[in-house]
Amino acid sequence: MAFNILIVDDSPAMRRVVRRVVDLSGVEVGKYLEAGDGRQALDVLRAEWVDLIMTDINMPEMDGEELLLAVRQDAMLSSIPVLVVSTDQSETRIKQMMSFGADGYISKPFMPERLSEEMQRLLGGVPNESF
Amino acid sequence: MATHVIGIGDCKVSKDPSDVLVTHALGSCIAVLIHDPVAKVAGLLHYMLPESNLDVDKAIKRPFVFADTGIPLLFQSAYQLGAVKSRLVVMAAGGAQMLDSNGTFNIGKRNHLAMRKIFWKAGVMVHKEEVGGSSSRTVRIDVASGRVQLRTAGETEHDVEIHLRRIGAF
Amino acid sequence: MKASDFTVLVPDCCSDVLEAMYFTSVLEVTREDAFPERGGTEGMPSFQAEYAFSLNFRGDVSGRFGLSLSGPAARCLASNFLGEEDSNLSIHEVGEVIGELANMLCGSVASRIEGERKFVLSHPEPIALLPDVRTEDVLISKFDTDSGLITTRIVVEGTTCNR
Repeated sequence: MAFNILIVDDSPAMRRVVRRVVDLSGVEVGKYLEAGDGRQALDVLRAEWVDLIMTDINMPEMDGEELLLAVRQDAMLSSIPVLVVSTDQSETRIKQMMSFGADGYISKPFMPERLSEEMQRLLGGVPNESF
Repeated sequence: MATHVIGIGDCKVSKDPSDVLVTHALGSCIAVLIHDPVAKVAGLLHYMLPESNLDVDKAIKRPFVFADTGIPLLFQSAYQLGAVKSRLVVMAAGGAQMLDSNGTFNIGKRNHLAMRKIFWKAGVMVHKEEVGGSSSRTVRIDVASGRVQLRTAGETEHDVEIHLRRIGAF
Repeated sequence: MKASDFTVLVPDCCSDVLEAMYFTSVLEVTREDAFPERGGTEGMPSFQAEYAFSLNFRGDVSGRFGLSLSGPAARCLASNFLGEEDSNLSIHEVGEVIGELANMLCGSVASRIEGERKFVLSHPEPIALLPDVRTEDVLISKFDTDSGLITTRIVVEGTTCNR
């Protein structure tokens, strides 16, 4: 059972770190997919099967909040778990994103083990159910 | 059952199922405990200082005093007994904020940071940490089972639960 | 809000970010007064560093955040952040990491401003040097870390400095 993971962040360095955390977690990855903003992420989501989205909030073009809302409103994408990974540590923002349908929220800076735990929690269900 | 006491700046690995490895008086020092549940190999390192460039001569004679020389040696010693990196369960304890000989409180934190940096660069995730605070700790590991017990000064001893979630095949 | 209101917040956020993801301890923090007592001709030192980034934050409180550090310090931080040897990293890769450091520091500060509901950060942009801001409300902090010296500058907009 391999998972396709989409990492959305306008920072290539952060995407690299998140990818390293996934690698070190022992999760079997089918495909790593990356996007620099919400718009690119939606393009990827419409072209590929994705088991988990990990997204920043502050991004150009389309931010993480808009991406989350678009995913939850799309019948084909709405069940994909979304983990927000953001510099915004405020309670207000965390509650807001969870109310919009995020399944988890990790504030930057984060310990790799914390991100790994959350990611594995969200992947704990059965992946890649085919129709 | 043989109980091996690992002192400050020391390390032991074992695959004898009757062994228990224990270390005491973890103040600002850190104990790194590793266990391969398949090969039934365990190791315990008790280090004092973060970096060996602080005293190169000492690092040659007593590599387990420092995180950057002790941690790689711990792992290499475990590999020699049959442990495999991807199977290792890793735990850390200690790193309390205690007054050190320089009159500062930050060696515990620096020890912790040094360990985390070494593990991140080496591609090792720490499965469980009990670090920080201001109290001394004692920790022991059973070689056969990997069971870890921890005591913090002033508290009762408790088992440390390490939950591993292995998602997907590995 | 004035820049001086960030005196505690900036070092706290800096320590958190540097420890969590750059495995770096802050050994000492000093604050530079934008308007030193000794006189106007000295004014603001201009910072020339190998890596410097600036970004804006917009919310209930708005302003600009800048970060500068030397090449060796940047390489050390980049190596720590990515978990790779610094000899394997290009100048571009190091720059990306320092840009992300600026982003995380600014984001941490902005999200902890009391009462801040929502903020937006601009993309960190590399700059040649941190600008001379002697006429603005600015807090400059210097962090002596075990990876090298890091300087931050936070300018709060909409306030004028009264001398």
